[in-house]
Amino acid sequence: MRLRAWRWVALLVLAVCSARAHAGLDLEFAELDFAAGRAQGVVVALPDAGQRAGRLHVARLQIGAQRWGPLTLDCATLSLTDGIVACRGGRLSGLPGVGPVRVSFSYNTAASTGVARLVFADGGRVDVRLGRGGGYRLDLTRVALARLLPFVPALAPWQPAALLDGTLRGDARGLRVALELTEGRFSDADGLHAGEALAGQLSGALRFEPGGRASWQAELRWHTGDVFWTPVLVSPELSVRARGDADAQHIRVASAQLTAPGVSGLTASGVFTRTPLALREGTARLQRGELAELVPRFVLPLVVPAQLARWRVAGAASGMVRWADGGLQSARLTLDEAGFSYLGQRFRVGPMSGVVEWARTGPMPARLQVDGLHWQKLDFKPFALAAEVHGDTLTLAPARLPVLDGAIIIEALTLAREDSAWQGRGSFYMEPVSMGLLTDALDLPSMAGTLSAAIPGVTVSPRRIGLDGALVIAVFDGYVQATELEVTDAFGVLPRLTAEVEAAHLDLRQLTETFSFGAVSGFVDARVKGLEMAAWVPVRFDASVRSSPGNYPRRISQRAVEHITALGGAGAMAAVQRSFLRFFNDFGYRELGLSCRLRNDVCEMRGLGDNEAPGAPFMVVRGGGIPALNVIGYNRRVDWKELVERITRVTAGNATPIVQ
Amino acid sequence: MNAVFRALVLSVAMLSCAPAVAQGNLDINTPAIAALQGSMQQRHAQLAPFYASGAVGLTDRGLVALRDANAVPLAQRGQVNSLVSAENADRAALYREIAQANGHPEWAGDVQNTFAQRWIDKAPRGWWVQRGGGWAPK
Repeated sequence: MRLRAWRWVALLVLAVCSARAHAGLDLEFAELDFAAGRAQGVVVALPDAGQRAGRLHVARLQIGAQRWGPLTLDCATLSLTDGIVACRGGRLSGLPGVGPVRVSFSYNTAASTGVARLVFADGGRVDVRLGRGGGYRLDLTRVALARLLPFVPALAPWQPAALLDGTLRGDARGLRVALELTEGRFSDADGLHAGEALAGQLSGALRFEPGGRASWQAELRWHTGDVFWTPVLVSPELSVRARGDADAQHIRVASAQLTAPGVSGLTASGVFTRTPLALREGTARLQRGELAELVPRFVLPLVVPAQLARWRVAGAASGMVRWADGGLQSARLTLDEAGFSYLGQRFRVGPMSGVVEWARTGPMPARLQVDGLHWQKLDFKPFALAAEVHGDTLTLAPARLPVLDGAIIIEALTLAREDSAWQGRGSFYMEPVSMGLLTDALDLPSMAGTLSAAIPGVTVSPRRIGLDGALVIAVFDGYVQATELEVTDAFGVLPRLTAEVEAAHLDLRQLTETFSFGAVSGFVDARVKGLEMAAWVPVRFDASVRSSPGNYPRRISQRAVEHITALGGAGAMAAVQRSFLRFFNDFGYRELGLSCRLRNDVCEMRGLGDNEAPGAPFMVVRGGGIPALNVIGYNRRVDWKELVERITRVTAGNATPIVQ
Repeated sequence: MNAVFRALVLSVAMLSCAPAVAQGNLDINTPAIAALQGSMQQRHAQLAPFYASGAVGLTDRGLVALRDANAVPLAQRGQVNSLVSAENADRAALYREIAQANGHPEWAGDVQNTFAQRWIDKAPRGWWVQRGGGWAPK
């Protein structure tokens, strides 16, 4: 557009002067129309006799949708000699945002050739050469991009700036461009989309063909500077090479290749409509993307901006997407030894390989081989997942996830997008896992028994996992059962777990031996109502433990008595005479019972009595038989952290008993 | 700066609260609250320069916001974005946790409003704060 405008100015001067090469002549045109626009109020003032200075004045100039005016070109020397129009020492003013421009030109009206130089106030320069046969060439030397903004007002909100060097050459057959951009930057008003210190090259060619068509090719190399496109920071070393053709309605991309760090073989093709500019159809293929490079940079800032440092990703992916009729038609993602981990190695999945496909037209299969699943210190054995993807719904086929000597069996699981969020529903159960193997794997005191689960209903959403059913641990000849289990924000700042826990008929001998608590024979039932954990630490519950009903031997060792009293701290005592204590290894008891109501980090304790007065001593073990023993607690309010520390000390075997 | 943060947390926590939570204890401490405050305190050293420069401001909803990314070097904008997200996640969890610890999860909104006002009241001069939807330096 700029070139055409310049040529028009030159031709206008030529026309005027050619009409009558007469000194001191003023020519006025009310309106001049040309291909790209129109000029109104045009006045050409040729030099007076004996003078050299001349002027071209345009009241209003319109090119395309843009309007300027008034524009004035004052030439120190304006001449017409032998059909050559020349302006020396010209000064163009009136272009808003451009500033004064020094202009010199020479135009041969007979040969339609000429040269011009435009020099901007900051030293940037454009040299124009018109050759025979309609050929032209523009050389840009450190031209500030800001000079071009008045011609592309849509760019103004981005406040772009850069220096342009390069060449644009053209003729009736086509044009070629080779531009180098340096010191580039742009930014929107709030700085959330911005680039700085940008440098790169653009080269391309356009060749006109019969039938109003044109073929084109272009290459863009961005090698310096950063772009922040909230919330993603994109670094350079990116290049795009593309070719295609165009006509009045469409621009076709026959082939485009993108090269960037972590990306190999990203190719695309497609067709754009020109008015409005929109993708009509297209296909993109990625041969290999390194997930460790791409996911932290482009995915995590979008998905988990607050936890970038907690996730690690590995492996590679390839894929394909196809777009048509205004929407995505199909997609394929292939994972190659992909994996991720959360918080170091606490939770780790992978390597896993497989293919997930999606098509708008109908269900597509997905399969994934998972060769590693690791939680805390627990390793799952390799397993395979198969699923069907249909629209916004993924349905997992029954799967077996082996762990230790058992397995988690997923009977059904469906993930669907509802109200713009992912929701999942399903059911699973566990093939029993030996508690011996499980406790060994988790570095816990070794326990006999099994862990199993039957969860007929599980619901999953990005923030919540809820289980309808029971997680059952058959342990110590009894069982522990958790129901109404719900985990919210599992990978968030403050994971929260709620559950109802019940235990029945736990063999105290096995339990106390396992935790080195001394020796207690008998059985207990326990209940934890309204268990709430925050960051995996209990913050609220109503717990109680009490001897199971029934006839069975009930003995408690001296060591266990010492430990129970140690748990009570300085306020606890064994109601037995010291003189007797040292003669017996164990004692009979009739019943034991203790409850703890945890609120605000304080455990409010009660004993066996149903109607214990507040603040009164409470009986934890009621003696029976010979010798009999009562254990009485005096401190009803115990700091929870302190209690946990005491339990840890006791089970670690280094408690200091407090027996009064 | 950590001293500033501690003073802020303490003064905010100990001030009387809005009528809806008048019976509540904003100074309540649980392991979860302590963990959140520790996490926020640790992050404060990184956020403090951005509060001072006005790049990050205190919203009238008790959160923080990247209000002027132009004041942050381009290469750090992603990091600041992440810090702001993490801080807001902690703050939202803190308000929920205080309400929860008071036995009234439904108070979370009131706790948040109370903290919002107090964070702004106690902010040092020059920090940008949001009032009535608009931003201004304090």
